[in-house]
Amino acid sequence: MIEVKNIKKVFAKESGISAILFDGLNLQIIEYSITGIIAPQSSGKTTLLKIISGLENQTSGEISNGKNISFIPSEPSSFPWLNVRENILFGLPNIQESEFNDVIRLVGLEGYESHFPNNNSYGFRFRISLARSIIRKPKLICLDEPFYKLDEQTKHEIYDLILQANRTKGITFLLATTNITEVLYLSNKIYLTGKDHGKIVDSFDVNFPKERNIGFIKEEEFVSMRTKIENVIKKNSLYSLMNFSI
Amino acid sequence: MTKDKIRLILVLIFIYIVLFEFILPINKLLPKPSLLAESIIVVWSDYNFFESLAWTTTVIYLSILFSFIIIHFVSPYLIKLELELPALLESLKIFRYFPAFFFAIIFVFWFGESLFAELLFSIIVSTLLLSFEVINQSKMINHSYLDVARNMGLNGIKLYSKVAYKSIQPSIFAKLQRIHYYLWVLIMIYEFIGRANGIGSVYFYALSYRDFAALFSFALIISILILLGDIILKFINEKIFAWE
Repeated sequence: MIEVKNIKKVFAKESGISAILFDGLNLQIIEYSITGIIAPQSSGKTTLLKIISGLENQTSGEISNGKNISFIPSEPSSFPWLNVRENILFGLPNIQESEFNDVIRLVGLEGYESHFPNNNSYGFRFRISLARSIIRKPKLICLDEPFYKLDEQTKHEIYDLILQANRTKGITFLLATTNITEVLYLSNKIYLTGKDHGKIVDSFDVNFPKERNIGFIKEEEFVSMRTKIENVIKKNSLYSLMNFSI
Repeated sequence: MTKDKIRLILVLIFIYIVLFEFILPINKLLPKPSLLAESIIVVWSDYNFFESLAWTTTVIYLSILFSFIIIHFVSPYLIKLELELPALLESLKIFRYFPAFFFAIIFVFWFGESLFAELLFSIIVSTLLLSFEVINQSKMINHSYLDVARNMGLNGIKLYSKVAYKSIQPSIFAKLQRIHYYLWVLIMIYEFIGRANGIGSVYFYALSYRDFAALFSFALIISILILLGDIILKFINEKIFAWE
């Protein structure tokens, strides 16, 4: 289990005044699960994921078991000057061909190894980023608003891809987003953070069937859970800061 | 070149021939077409134009090559400085406003007719202009690239050379294409001031002989050379940066 313990982040604004982004933030990320964080816009989701993946330092607090954590930013991050294969293997000294083939098959890029990502869609580039992370066998993959630039069709394909990677490879994901539907569809555990210094407002355990498709979001079980979360969001005056699109 | 452009050029040539060969053969605006045609042939021997041309093109294209190589090695450090100490490089940009031709004059004053000095001047100008572009482009680097590269364990100067510089390389090369034209102008000014070597000096003598047709012949030959240089640079750009 990866534990985020009592994280505090203070940063200096341009005016020179210090501002507190998080104060006493705690999270538990259980291995082989998908943990979701629903947080209002501009509440520091990216900073939190960067702290967890070691790209940014926290002011205080600790991340236990926090080595080898992969970070996939919201912007497409596959290098346009490298082809798919070079992107995935970037910086890896030795990797077995069978391992590479396994990953490329999982993300659906088989046959595209020599393609360059620049002229391709966000979905294509996301698959490269995901493959690049998976092949490094991380303890956790942090996904920062990964779907907001994707069209509906691709979004649903990527949802399934993440669920499949979690199911078949046992990959642990941490997903931060403002979108209730996607976080609920994908996660086993959801943390809702408020506007106030990233404090956890509530958390929800989700026990949906492991094998599910996008049609599941219309099922009663899903809808009632969604309503439950929405009510907590309304109660905490976070409604206008969240994304309720399906 | 599109058919429309070719058509336009042919129409302009036709107008030029009719107007300046038959209607206004003696004027101070443009030389008579037949005189120009004759001049394009004789300037090569009269002005030792081939040697001058070889001199100038060597200086320009060698300096383009050298400056690109220099920038290739220096860029990661410039990017690092720009991202970590932006105020320092920002203050150096004040030199942008200093007229480049002043440096040309000073170089001629210091080194006279040396080919090496001319080449050095050209390399310095070209490298400085490329450096400014690197600094400008550093502000536009996609930080996602840097984040994921750091996440994959890349640090220090390698992060800037393998990722940051790579991502802005096409813009740097595009700038090189613009610098190419600028260098032609600047080097000819340098040679014009120095009066010893290159096309600039040939221009100086053609002007002092009041050789109207030669002035135009040179311009025509140079513009063809610049066009060819531009095509070659574009071709290299498309080959190296095919991913763009």
